Amino acid sequence: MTAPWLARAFLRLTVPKEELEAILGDLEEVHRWRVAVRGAKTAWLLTMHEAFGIGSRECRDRIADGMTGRWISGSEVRLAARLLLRTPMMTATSVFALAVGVAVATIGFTSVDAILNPRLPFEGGDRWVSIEALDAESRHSRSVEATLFERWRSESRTLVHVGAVRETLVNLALDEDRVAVVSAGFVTPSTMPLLPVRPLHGRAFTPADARPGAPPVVLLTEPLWLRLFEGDPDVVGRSIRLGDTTYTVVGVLPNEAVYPTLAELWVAWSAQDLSAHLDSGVSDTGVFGVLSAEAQPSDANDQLGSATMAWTDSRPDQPAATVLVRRVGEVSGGGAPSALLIAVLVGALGVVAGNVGNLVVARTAARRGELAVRSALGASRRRIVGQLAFEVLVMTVLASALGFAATRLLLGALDDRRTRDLPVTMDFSVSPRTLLFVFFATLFVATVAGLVPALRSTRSNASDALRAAGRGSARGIFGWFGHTMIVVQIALSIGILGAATMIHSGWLTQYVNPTLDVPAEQLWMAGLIPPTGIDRLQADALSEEYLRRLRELPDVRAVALSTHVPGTDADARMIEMERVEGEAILRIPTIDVGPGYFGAVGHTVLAGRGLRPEDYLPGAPAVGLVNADYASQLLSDRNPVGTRVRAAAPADGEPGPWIEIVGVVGGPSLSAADPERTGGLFLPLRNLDATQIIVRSIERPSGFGAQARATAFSVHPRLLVTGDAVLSERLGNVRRIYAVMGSILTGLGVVILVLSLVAVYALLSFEVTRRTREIGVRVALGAARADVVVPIARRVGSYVVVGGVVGTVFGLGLLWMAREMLVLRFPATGAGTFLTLTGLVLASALLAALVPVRRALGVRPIEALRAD
Amino acid sequence: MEVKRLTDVELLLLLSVLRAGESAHASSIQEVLATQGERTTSLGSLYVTLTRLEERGLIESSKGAPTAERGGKAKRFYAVTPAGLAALHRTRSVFERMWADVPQPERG
Repeated sequence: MTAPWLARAFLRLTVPKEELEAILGDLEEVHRWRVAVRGAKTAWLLTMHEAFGIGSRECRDRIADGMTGRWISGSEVRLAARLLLRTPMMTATSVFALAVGVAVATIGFTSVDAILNPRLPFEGGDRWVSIEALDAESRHSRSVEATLFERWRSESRTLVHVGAVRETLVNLALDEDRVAVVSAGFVTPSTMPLLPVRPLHGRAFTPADARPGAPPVVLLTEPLWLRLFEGDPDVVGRSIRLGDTTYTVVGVLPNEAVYPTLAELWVAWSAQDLSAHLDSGVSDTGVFGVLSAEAQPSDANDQLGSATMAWTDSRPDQPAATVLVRRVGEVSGGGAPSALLIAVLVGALGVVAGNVGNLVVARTAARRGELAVRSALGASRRRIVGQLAFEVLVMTVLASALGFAATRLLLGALDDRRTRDLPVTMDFSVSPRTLLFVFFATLFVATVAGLVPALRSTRSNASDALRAAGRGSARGIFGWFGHTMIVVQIALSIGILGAATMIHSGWLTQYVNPTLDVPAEQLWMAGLIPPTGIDRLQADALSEEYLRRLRELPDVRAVALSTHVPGTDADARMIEMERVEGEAILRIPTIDVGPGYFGAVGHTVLAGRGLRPEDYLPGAPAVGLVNADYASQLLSDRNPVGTRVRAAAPADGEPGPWIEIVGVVGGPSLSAADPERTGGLFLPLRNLDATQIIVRSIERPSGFGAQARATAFSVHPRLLVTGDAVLSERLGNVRRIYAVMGSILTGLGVVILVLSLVAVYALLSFEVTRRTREIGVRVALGAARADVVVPIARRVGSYVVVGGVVGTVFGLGLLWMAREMLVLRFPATGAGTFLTLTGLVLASALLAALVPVRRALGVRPIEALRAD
Repeated sequence: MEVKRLTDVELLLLLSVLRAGESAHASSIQEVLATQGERTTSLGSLYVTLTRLEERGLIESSKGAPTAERGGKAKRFYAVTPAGLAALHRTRSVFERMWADVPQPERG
């Protein structure tokens, strides 16, 4: 456990070279001791604190000693430090704006690099390629047959290895009552020796494990080993059942084993099983290879292309195939999205850099008078520029530390490739090159923005400079572009923050505190996946049998199937309705339900009839039910029984058959988020894919999952029960996710708003400061205070009103899109949120203008007149 | 040679350097100061005082060889100079003189 890199980096920046090694060593030693005694997290905090303490002391000492070189003296440095602290708000705002810039740039460049330059996280990872078979005509991906795979293996001279992998879910039975559903990756054993992972216990696969007659073996990954086997090292040699086969555990893989599969369990894929699976026509197998020392992916592509062509020629009656060899993680056709990504990044950076620039320009411009006075008093131009440069440097260093810390915090969550749900080839670690680049880019922007006005005000002779400072002649720094940018920023921030807070509050009210019309504490839910390789009738029979056995379990009151989790949004389908007003095609929430569903979730049929067993038979007349809200929301409270609906025709097809509505069910809402879209359809469940099981039990059904999995295993070893949870817990997880996403959205909105306020402040502060003398003269000539203040307030108002109107339109557009995409209804105070935000921005902007206006009004008229 | 007076912190630090013996370096001095001197201090403050003592000629430092437990970094060893020892003794004699007539607190 080494000391945090940020601490080490900070010391490297601040501590003199001759002292650095000893201090880093001490820090290292103390950190190890702290980790052992206080734990890693506390140690991290203490060591960071320590490093900043040491570094800042070093800086202070050097400043006090006047060791900062000839460019700037110790007293100048002290002056710069005092000036930075004299305007703490301005300094803090500049540092904040710079820090946001640093964070946006670092995250942006790191993400673009992660997406554009995929790489496997181990040495030699760039030699691994994916091999894909394509249909020669359509260029669509197709399955790889065993003979083709063998041909690739035997004829590839550009590849030192060709392997295959397949991922699936399996039942892992520890004994009859303990069945877990785990992800299993079937891997060609000959791949293992090429991977740089060494097992924690036992051995890795060897090519011998693929031979006919070899005993079936598996490797556990560390997380699974800890979860199901409590980290028992004696697990090696133990037998476990996966589906209908018994395997021997031969080793435990470390957490770094993330390629070729992220599965929790690695299964040695025997040559025989591999061939059989490839020939079954299921296209779930990934083929990969390792390039030989000199070969490039294009060489392998050419060579395997010839092999594939020869293979196609050997079977003239079959469609022709071709091949595509790419580095692992590389995506074709990524040009446009990548260009878009970079354009967005550059745009964001431009806005941030513009803001930062505005702010620093304003900060320096506001001090032109002071600089001119110093210049007149004999301070050399070099001295003044040096002092300003030092200020910029201090702000950039502070902002970089803040920005990099924020980046680390935000990207740190993506470090664990196993849990983060992204391609394993995406590397989100921030490279030192990126850090350096961003630091110097920030320094450059801040320096240019900070020094240009300084150079201008010290360019001419002292009296000119003083006079110019007095008149405030700084026209040209902010042109129409600057003003437009301010308006655009206000619009963006009001639009985005308004939409973000409304989506957030929509999520909070609808998901976090939903009104449920089902007994969520008593409903246990899970996904049901029938075994692969069996036909539809067999799958239906297995499901039937499984439901029957579940009903026999003690405490179970009702069991039913459905495609919908109560309390969440149902999928909305395009439905054509027969109505008195004429036919209409609408997006209507629709779910498929199995027999006994309404009883299981506790809803009763209010009118007409419920679904009967014969409605589920093939060829039966198509019927459906609606809920009470359907009648009120879509039929103006007319009786829906007897009306007809059908699936609307897709762009290139026919509409579905007419479905007669035969009954109305009381209660169930089909939209969690939009009270105006709760009405919907219930159709008989005919397709068992993506089915949810619903079990209703009398007691609180936690712990029912183990029983349910064991029952499934007893019905068929490959019948899978996945993601089981009591409904209330499941909805709790959904709520947490929405709460976090909402907070992130709002947080982003707030950052954008603060940046805009910073920009508005910078501009106004600059403008008013520039006109200080003019205001003084006007007051001297008898202008009333109101005559001075009103035009400024009007100017501020016009920025905010134009920005507010554009922002509200933009935000409402965003909300409309969000509502269409998320089926989410927002609180009725929609426009109010935007008005409030506009008011807030207006108030902040007026406040920003107030300080310089007061200063301007305080100028003694006689001074103003004399200066001119 | 004039023997300089020592502050409370300097006194404790000099004694800690002596107690840490030949292997006295920042983290071992910090440990001695914490365990025997009953005073916790950050590395940053420690360096400041050590540098000051070294500038005053009361201690001297030398660089050691890199070690694995410090991530391959070398140590800076500190030792008390004769001047430092003299300052310690003088401070002690001042303290003893000052303590001579201080009564014990009454118990009860």
